[in-house]
Amino acid sequence: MLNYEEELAKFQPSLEIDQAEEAILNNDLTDLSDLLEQVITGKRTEGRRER
Amino acid sequence: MNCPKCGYEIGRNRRYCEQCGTDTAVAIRLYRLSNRYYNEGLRRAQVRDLSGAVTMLKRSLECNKRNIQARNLLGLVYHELGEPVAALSEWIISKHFIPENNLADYFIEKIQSNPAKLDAVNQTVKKFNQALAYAKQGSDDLAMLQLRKVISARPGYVRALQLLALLYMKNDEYEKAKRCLLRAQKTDVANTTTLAYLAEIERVLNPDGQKVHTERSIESVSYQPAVSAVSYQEDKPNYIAFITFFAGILIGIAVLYWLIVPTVRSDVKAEYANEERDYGAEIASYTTTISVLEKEKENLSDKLKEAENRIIELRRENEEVSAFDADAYEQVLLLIAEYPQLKERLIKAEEEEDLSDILDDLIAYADRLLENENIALVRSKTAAVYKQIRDEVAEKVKKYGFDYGHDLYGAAKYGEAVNYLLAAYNMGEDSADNLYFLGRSYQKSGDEKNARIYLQMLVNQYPDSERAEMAHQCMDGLD
Repeated sequence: MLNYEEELAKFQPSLEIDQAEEAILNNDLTDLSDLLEQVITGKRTEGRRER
Repeated sequence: MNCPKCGYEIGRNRRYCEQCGTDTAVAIRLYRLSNRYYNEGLRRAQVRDLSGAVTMLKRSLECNKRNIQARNLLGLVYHELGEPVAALSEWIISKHFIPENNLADYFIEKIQSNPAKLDAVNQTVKKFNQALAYAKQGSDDLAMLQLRKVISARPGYVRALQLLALLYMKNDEYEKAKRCLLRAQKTDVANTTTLAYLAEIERVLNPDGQKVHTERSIESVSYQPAVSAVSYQEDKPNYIAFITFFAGILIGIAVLYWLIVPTVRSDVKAEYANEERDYGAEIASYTTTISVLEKEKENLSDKLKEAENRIIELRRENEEVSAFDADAYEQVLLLIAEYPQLKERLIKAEEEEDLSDILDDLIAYADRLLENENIALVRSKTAAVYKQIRDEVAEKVKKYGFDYGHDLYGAAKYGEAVNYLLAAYNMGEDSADNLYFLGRSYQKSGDEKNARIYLQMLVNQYPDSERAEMAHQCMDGLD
């Protein structure tokens, strides 16, 4: 049985043209490579601290 | 691919970065994973599983944000789903990573080159958002009205179709909902929301789990079984239809005969009468034209005759001109000019009754007149004068030439008598006496030949005269 309210809540407004700039700036471009780099950098820093 | 630490471009098979020495094994694996997800996203997009393609492409970008092909394709899929801003965002980010030789340039330029169309798309987005707001407020009718406008402007807008289908289902209009969802399925075949709604509709319409024949046959991606054929029944002949048909024909014929035919006939008569009037007027004008032309013809005939007469006259004058001899004509003019003086002398001599001095000149003048007679008569203007002079001179020469010659014959001066008598004869004195004395003068002068001529002439012209008998006697004495 379909819950219309729940289904309705799933619908989100579409972006309009004047909202495009904000959407682009807020776009998170972090990928796994960036995460990997963060992890590598963080390990080295910890390693230096332990010494 | 590039080194994740220093960004140096490294080969795919290199384990370490040549620039900074970083271990690139994981980076290479992420690169390959991103490509694998991109390939899967591309496959799904090719079979119109756009939702699935979005998922795969997003994963591809999560592995490698610099995968430009995946990002451009994602923008294209968003555009097909009716999300222009999302599409533009991806393409702009793609250009950020690779500014030159990027396919995103083409896509962005395509959208921005038609500002009117871009604005129209933006308006549909606004209407969708407004419809969504109405639906969340509970104003289903307003929401559906707006959504219908959005869908009519952009028939492939999947989310608008899904929202409208949801509202139809909420209002128990399942057939309409189904139609919307099937249209959405054409754009995005495996959208989970669409499939879920369709399953719900199927469940509601067919709670026993069997397929139901719907009012209208709807074209869908999944094929429906054929409808069973109805059993054949023989059609009974429809007598009423035949009777009605023939009755209609009869009524039509009657209407035609009583109403239309008389009108047509009267129209035709009026038309013929008009044509007759027109032709009559035309005939009258032609008759008038004919009479005018006949008059013109008469005038032209008269003019033609005048022209022909003139031509004859001109030809005559032309002959006169052709025959004209200037020198000879000058002689004629001199003759005419001499006559007044000669005439004066003649008158004086007649008064004095002594023509001895003038008679020779008169005879010489008469000879010259005879010599130039043809030339004088060519010109009409001098001919009259010439004739008058010639007649006057001829009278004088005839009279005085005969008298003087007769006197000389009596004086036995036969040779001189011949001259005068012959001059008189040449000017027309052909009386019996003149012929006799002329012939006798020739005879007495010893010219028997000329004597015979004139004596014979006398005999021929005056056979019963006394002179003729005398001429016979003379001719007997000739050889």
